[in-house]
Amino acid sequence: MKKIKKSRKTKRSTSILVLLFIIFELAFTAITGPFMLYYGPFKNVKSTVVGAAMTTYTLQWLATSFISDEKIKQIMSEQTVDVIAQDNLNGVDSGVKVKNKNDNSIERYDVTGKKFKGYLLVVNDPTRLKVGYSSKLGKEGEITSDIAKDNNAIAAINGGAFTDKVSGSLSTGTGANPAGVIMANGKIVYDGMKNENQKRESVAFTKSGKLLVGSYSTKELKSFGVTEAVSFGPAMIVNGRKTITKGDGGWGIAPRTCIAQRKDGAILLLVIDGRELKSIGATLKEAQDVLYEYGAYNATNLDGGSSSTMFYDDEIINDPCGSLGERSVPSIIYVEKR
Amino acid sequence: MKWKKRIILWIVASLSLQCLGLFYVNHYFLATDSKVVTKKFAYDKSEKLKNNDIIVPANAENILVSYDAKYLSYYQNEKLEIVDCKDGKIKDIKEEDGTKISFSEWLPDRNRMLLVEKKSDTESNLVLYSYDVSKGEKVKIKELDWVGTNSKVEDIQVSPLTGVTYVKVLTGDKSSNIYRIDRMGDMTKASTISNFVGNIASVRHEDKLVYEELAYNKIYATGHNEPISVKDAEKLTLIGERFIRFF
Repeated sequence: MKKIKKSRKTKRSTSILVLLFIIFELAFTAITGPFMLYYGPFKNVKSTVVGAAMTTYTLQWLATSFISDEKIKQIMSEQTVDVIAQDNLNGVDSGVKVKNKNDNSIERYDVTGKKFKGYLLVVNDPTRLKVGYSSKLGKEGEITSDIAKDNNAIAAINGGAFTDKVSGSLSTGTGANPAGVIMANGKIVYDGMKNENQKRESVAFTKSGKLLVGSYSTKELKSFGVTEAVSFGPAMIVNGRKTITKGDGGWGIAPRTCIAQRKDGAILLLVIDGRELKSIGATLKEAQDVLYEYGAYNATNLDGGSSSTMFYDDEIINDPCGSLGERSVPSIIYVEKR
Repeated sequence: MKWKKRIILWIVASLSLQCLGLFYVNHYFLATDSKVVTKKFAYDKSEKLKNNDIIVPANAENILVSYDAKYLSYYQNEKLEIVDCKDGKIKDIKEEDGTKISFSEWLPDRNRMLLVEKKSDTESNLVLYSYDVSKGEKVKIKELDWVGTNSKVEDIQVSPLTGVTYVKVLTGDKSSNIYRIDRMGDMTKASTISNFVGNIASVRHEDKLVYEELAYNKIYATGHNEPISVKDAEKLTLIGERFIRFF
């Protein structure tokens, strides 16, 4: 009799013990975890988490609640992207010679990395690249595929920067308000710059099909004969040189949209899926390296995150990470149908 | 074992697990991705569009068309079928085993449906999925685990511009709870004046919901405490969201 009672008692106390253990582990880990992460010796994880958090709208508290702004600044500065200016001294067309002006072919490649899946389009004739924009700029953005279809595009990627002045939640913007500049067909469609001399990281095409990356003012863009432009950056490859040589670029891991140009003028469009189980995302350095492998001579980052979208042959070929699929944006870069 | 020893052991366990985890992530997971494989994608352009008639069974219910009429949906014997109008083929929705689609809704501007699946046993939760019809891909958005298992989804209103989905759930005690899910997948409960809500409609440019308040018989919007009034109108009924704008 006594033996049975004792074994029942130990059984119950064992399960209580296990429960206490689990609760303790969870609580202790939750409390000490952030300190291990932010003050421990794991530099890669720390800088990735800080970089990723600080370059989103809604998750900055993940970093700011645990480390001082000064430390954040220091961590982000170790991940700097070098600034190299394009070599325009010998005329804006130097370095890149557009060779395939009448080659209407487009090649598609599927890119698979350790933690991401992406899609690359190679467009041989760069003069086919144009900027498209929402028909209701200022009021509403439009989804990439709609702007692409309105412009009869064969391919498109989401484009430039935007701000969504929405009070309260920051993830419910409609993509109505662009930031920087939008130029299409030689005309400035949106000008958010202070004046024509203010420089801002740009993604622009000249009439002859040369891709401009890095900081330019609207005055400079006009002087170089730019006909299509949106604002975004940073420039990742300039004059054949990578700008991200130490660290991962400092923007964490996320979906990416990028554009690049080879020496023979062909344009590379790259979209990498992220924030999903089958594709977590890529760092800026990883995107840069993919483009470099494909012969990019000049390359720049465009708007990533929930905006990253690639449209080709009447369908969206990537998996935008929003719960409803594509999100509305103010501008896109598309390829004319020929 | 003495408690002091035990606690020390537990602390060591947690710390070593954290170190192990962080070490793995630091050295393997985040190491710059050197192995990137690319494969050229071969296009198959042999499909030709045929002008066929789509035959919908006589006992089909709730027949709906997608925004560009490329797809049709209907319920046959309480089962949801989605038809590709290009060739009349029925899409495989890949339902989880033992579940039923209790609610479905087409998005107003794209070939995508929101689906609510519920397991046959009454103990499990409603799960909201986003189904990309052209790709045939179903992605889980959220498990609606804040509602009791005796609930059902009555209505879903989507605002594609703001990326917000509002789900109206009728709980076991006949009250309505409205859940708001944004494009990042975060879910919050929308606060309404009471728990007796009729028709709902989302606002086009803002993250707000307009709803019929059945307890007071008036129309309200989330975030506002005063009902919406129209001059000389005594009773208002909410029909749709096309012309709602806030000043």
